[in-house]
Amino acid sequence: MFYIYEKTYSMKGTHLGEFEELVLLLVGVLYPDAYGLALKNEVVKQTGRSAAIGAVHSALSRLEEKGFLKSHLGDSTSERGGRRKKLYSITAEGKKAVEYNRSLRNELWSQIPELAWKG
Amino acid sequence: MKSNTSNTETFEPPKLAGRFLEWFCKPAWLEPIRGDLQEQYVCDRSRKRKLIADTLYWINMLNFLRPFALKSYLRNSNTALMFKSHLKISWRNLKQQKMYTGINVFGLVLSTVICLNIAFYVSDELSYDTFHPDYKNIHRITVAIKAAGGVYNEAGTQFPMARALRADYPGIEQTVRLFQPLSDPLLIRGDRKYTEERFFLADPDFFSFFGYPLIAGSPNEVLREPNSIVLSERMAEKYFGKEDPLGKFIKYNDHHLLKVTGIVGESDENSHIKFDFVSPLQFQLNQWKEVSGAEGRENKWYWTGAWTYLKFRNVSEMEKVSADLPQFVLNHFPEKWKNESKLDLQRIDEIHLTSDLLYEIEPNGSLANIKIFSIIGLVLLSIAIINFVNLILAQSMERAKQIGIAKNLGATRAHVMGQVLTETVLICLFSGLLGLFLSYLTVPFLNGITGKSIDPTTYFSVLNFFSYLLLFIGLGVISGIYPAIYLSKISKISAMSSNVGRVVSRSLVRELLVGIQFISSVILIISVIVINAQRDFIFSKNIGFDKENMLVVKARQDINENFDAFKNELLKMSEVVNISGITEVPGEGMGSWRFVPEGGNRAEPILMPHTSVGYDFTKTMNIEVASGRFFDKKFPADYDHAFVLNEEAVKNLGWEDDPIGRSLELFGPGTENIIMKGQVIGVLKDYHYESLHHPIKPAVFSLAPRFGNYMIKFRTDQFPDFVGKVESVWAGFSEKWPLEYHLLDQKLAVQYSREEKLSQLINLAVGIALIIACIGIFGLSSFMIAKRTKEVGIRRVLGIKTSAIVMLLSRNFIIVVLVANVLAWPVAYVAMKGWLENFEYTVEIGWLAFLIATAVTLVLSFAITSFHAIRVSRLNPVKSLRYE
Repeated sequence: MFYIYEKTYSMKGTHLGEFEELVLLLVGVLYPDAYGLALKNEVVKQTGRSAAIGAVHSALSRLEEKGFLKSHLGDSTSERGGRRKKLYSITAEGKKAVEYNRSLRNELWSQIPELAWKG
Repeated sequence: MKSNTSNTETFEPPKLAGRFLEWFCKPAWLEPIRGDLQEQYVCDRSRKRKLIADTLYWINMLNFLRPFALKSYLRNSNTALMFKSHLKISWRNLKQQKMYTGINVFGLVLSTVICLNIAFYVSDELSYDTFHPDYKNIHRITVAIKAAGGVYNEAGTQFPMARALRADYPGIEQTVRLFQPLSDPLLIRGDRKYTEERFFLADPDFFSFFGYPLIAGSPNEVLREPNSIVLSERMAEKYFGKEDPLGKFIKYNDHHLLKVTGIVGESDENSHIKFDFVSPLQFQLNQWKEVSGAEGRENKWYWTGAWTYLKFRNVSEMEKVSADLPQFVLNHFPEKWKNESKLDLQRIDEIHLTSDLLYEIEPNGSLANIKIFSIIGLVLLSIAIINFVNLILAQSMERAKQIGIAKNLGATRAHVMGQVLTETVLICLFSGLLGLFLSYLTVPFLNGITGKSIDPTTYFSVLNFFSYLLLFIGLGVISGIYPAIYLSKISKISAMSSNVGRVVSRSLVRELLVGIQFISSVILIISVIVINAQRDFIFSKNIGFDKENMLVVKARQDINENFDAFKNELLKMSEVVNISGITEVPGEGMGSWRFVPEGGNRAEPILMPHTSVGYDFTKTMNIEVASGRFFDKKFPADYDHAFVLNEEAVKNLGWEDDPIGRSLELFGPGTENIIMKGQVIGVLKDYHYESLHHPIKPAVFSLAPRFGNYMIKFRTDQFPDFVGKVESVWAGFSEKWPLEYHLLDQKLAVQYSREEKLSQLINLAVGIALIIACIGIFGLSSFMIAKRTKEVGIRRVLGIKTSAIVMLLSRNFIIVVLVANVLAWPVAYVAMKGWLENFEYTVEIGWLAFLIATAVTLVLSFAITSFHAIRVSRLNPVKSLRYE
């Protein structure tokens, strides 16, 4: 029992988490200059909630793995110590995923009867 | 943020953090991540302090310790999984062995709390006077004058010293003289009327020279006008309540009005100059001028009344001046002192811990105490760590099988070591953090014992927190390293065999560690006994006069003028046994005056401590007359014509054969005039007119009608009533001054507050050390004895007595304890001998202390082991034979 290997199965699918969706949309908002730190600042600016820089990068990497984002290395600035940015843009898959989320939401909204809001 | 302009400053982020990132981060991610971090850092730096920006950089960097960014071998490798598994197994082990985990955590928490408190205390003591700007260039000049009965090392120097030094040495940038009025002034504002002890007079540069923060008024202006005063915040509140005191007046001794020009903040507590009021020295000088004409005391080179501080331009200037001081003495000192005087410099931050001269501003701290406290702290911590190591080793019997299986499944030595280290680091981290939290809460308690006002928040910043974390992790590694090596050495086969217990239990190291623990405990116990004995000795030593039931009343002018009437009035009270007057409080020293003994040369006077006393002084204080007589009303010529000496003075003057009738001449303070010529009429037995830190020096007494203090010997059970009566008598003689009194024994006890504090703290620390050591032995012996359960069962079946079992099982411990005692004795003896050298009069270190220490350790260890032994031996053999 000392070194039993516990396998963890990661759920790799097309599901889009709430934070992931936010980041995905913001990549669109900031196009063509969407990179980690800018996205983090945008999260703070647009939603008022604090986000750790690592969390944003982590979400970006998941989204890229799922095929919703693609990235390339962009230009560098002096305040980055000459290092290039990793710039993201939305793929067709990504667009499909947010569209799906949106239509799902609209569909659900339309199904709520007026009365439900009054209770 | 997108600007490409290169005129933005380039900031270098913390290198170590960058290197750490490089170590764990996937190369593909490294560039964008570092870029982002750098960009954020530049942004932070432009807005915040470097320290905060650096901390944020670290936090952001550590935030990337996420799976996506980790190098693949870190993410999916055994290392990461192992660490996870180590954590899990550690948690299970700790949970399973609740008692031992509890003992470990308890000991470590306790010792962390004590250690941290000691660390706060020590760092507070070490921080004295380091808040002055440029404190490394600030020195106090002190003087040593050779005279009869020894060398007089004075913290104060002559008033003209500062000006002469400035004139002679351009390397001195600024000087400030400090002075305290000879009697505490009475300050009056409306109906608020108090005599104030913490009143200083200083040169105008005081506030620009030192770092005391003014919250109102400008440093260069507040002391310009002679009749001004600067108050502390507390005093502003005391005298003015919610009013703004600036520009208002405080009456000084009923004659002078002082205008409040500034208020100083309350950050002066870790300075050797603790003041509530500062007025310009010029104010005092003006008063003296009124009394003694234009040639005031400030121009004389005789009176060492001013504490003089110098600020040098730099260190090499200081060294230059320091080397030239002997020449300075020759140039400026009066003829007769030239060859006997020496000047010295003390750096301001070193005064509190190293200076112990006459006429200090306050009793200073003690470096010896600091050392003792630090040693106790370390000893405590090591006892706790030894416990910890011992218990882990003892548990190895249980652990051996676990390790054997792991090894057979392919675990390497490194894996086993990692497991053990994870566990120890976890415990240390947890206990350390808990201890940190508790020590934060116990700081007020520490302040209570030490009389300090340490602000705990000073020691709990973000950066400190990181270093605490590192410290605790370090402790975990240190305590885990030996068990880790030891346990990982067990071979696969022996670990699985049934007599594994035997294999791992024979550990010389463990015995050694227990031995060290006992050695430290014995040393601590002996020290505690000696330190307490010395304290009791000081409090009970016959100091040559009566300090019990003795009221010390501060003398005032109105009373001095009518002293005889006042005395008669008091003597009417049945509680008053006797009353007399004296300049200095007995036990608190005397000022040194210049004398010319019979046949001596007026150009070469000698210095001897001298004080003026009243009739009945010896009767009131119960001081014995060795020969001749004391001053008596029957001899009116005693005024101005008679001296009484102590035995030491007689010895020093070489008058042992016939002191009575010898003549002496006394110089006036700060003048060339002989103010008194007289004959010796009697000799008093030596009494300790200074604290017991000093040997008895010569002393000369003369009769005077006016005093600094009245000594009232009383007998009563109703002390408050008695004081009330004295107060009403006092009020009949003095309208202006309130009665100010102390009890002599309490007043003198302040001189030994250092020893008192030391013995309080050391009692506490040693008590805790013993508790930790005891619970350690408790845990260890329960393990050792549990292992022999089977053996005991067999012996029981064969008919052994319980007492024999107890002997059998405690034998090992007893031997270790005895050896430890023998080793500890000489160490304790040498250490205590060294400590006692701080005192002039000391107790003998008796053998009793050693016996007590040995007895205590023996009884404790025997009690603990026999507790377990009896428990095991009373088990039904059927049960104990089934054990394991």
